[in-house]
Amino acid sequence: MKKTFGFMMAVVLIAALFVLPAAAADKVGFIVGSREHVFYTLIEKGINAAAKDLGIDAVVLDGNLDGNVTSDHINNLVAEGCKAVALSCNDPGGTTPAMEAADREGVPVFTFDCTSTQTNVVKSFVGTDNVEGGRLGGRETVRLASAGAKVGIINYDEPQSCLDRRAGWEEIVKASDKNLKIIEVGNYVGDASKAEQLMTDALTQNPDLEVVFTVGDPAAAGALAAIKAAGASTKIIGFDGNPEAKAAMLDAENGRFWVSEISQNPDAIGRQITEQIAKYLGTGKVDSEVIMISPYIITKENAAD
Amino acid sequence: MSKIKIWLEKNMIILFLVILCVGFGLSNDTFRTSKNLFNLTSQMAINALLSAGLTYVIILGGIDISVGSVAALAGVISCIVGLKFPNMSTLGGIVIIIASAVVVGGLCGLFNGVVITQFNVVPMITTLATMTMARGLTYIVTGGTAVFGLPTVFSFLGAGRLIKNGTSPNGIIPVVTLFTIAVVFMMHVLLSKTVFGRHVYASGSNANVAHLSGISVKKVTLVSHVLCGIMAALGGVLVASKLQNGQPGACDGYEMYAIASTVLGGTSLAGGSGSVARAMFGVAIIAVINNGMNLLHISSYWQKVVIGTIILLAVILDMAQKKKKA
Repeated sequence: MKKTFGFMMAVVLIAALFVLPAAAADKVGFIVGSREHVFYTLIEKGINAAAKDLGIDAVVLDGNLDGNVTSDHINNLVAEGCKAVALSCNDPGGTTPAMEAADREGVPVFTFDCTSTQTNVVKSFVGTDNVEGGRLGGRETVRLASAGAKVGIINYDEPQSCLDRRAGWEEIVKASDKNLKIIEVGNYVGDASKAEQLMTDALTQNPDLEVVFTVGDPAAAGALAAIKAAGASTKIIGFDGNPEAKAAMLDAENGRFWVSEISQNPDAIGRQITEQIAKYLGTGKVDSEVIMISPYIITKENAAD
Repeated sequence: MSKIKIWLEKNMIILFLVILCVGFGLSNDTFRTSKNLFNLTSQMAINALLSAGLTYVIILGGIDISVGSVAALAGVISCIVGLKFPNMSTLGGIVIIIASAVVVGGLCGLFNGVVITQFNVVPMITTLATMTMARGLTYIVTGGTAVFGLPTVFSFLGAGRLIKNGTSPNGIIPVVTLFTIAVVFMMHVLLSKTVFGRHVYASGSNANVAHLSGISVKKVTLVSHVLCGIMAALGGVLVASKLQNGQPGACDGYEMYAIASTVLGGTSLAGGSGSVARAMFGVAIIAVINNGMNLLHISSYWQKVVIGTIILLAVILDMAQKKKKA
């Protein structure tokens, strides 16, 4: 009887080893800026791919570019038992209190794309070097423009990333020995149709505008429509590296105008932030507190890659 | 003398438009050029279509804040349909654009009309829901990315120009201007010269009296919302045609400019009065302010402040005149 009981207990224990679930994967919360922007959907793809490779259970939420929504998500993710939280900190003022509260609860906080300088709880930030991206745009502008030419910029005055791009572009263009004249085309507020109107007005006043740099691809799409309608020959340098930009550069007609693109690497941002979190959860350390992913130039020659 | 005074009081909006044009014309040489004036008409087109449709529902005492989202949905749908026909002709492109607008806009307008008339949900809430749903659908069908790769002929209606010559090899008169004039004219005639139009005014003035007079207020409301949806969708497909791609974030906030233009044109938010033709003066004022300020390189922030101030002044003036008449 004792032997039978002992045998049964042994069977149950061995079976339990197989039946009981393996140690659950670390659950990590990610809050992307907005799923309505292709840039963030590509970051999300990078996060999911890296999480799968690293055995992380990634919970990805949409912050709607709203500090209040993002703060609520942070609190919910902490309550859900996430081992770490990573967010695109588009509203540093609004989300910093929730980030600090998560840190006090023992949940490490990471940021990507945008970060907060108002707190020191961020373990690591991964983002694009937008100033450097602007500089690349500036170098392309100088390369494409003739000496003394008019060059324009379509800007977006609200996001810090776009202000950084503008600053980098101006730094190079103003320092150029080509003596370029900068034309302010205007603030397109993220609306391609508005960019088209601004560019139409700018071309009416400056039909000899040689190059226009745009801080985002929707602005480049609007500028392209205006340039074609006006019969102008202005060259466009876009920013983002979205699929429509590559398609335009490869197109026989549109490629005559949209000749250069400063591309970000959202997939690499998503992968890198996930890798840093995995490293921190494993060793308590990160590679660096700030990791900048350099943007790069796309032209017709490498657009198909 | 008193006749002039009466005319001026009735047509303050026209006088204001003339003053704006003279002011910008004197301060900027480019503003006066024929090229800029033709550009101005094409820049008015989208808002003109949205406002023409909104005039109907505002005269009914309602509102439609879904027009911007419906425009975006129709724009991306027209591009998705257009991609299925890579070898389309110019006429084929026009047919795809207009058919997409009629179907998408008609369905959205029908939805608004049915909810308002059959479930008695207030227009503000109904169209707020449609605004959110239409924008969500736009992102679902596009996956958040622009719809691109359309043939050049697709852009004929939105970006094409007629009468080409040596100085204007791309043409002078924007096709979108002619198209908008034709559609707005039809909307104006429908409202001011037909029995249906009179029913719209009667239903907006006093729905109970209109009902007792034998007018089907529900039917009038339903048709007006369908028309408003189609006009919004036409605006959206023209944006897509102009840009030769469908942007899911397009036309965001355009409902505010359209409502502002309609109110500036003298359409009463209380319902019962207004006209499509006069709404076009409101459209022109907003377009002239934007265009003039762009040419003068005035910050977009100040443009918002100026437009907001003008709308407020126009409404205060309108209320003062009504009070005087009463």
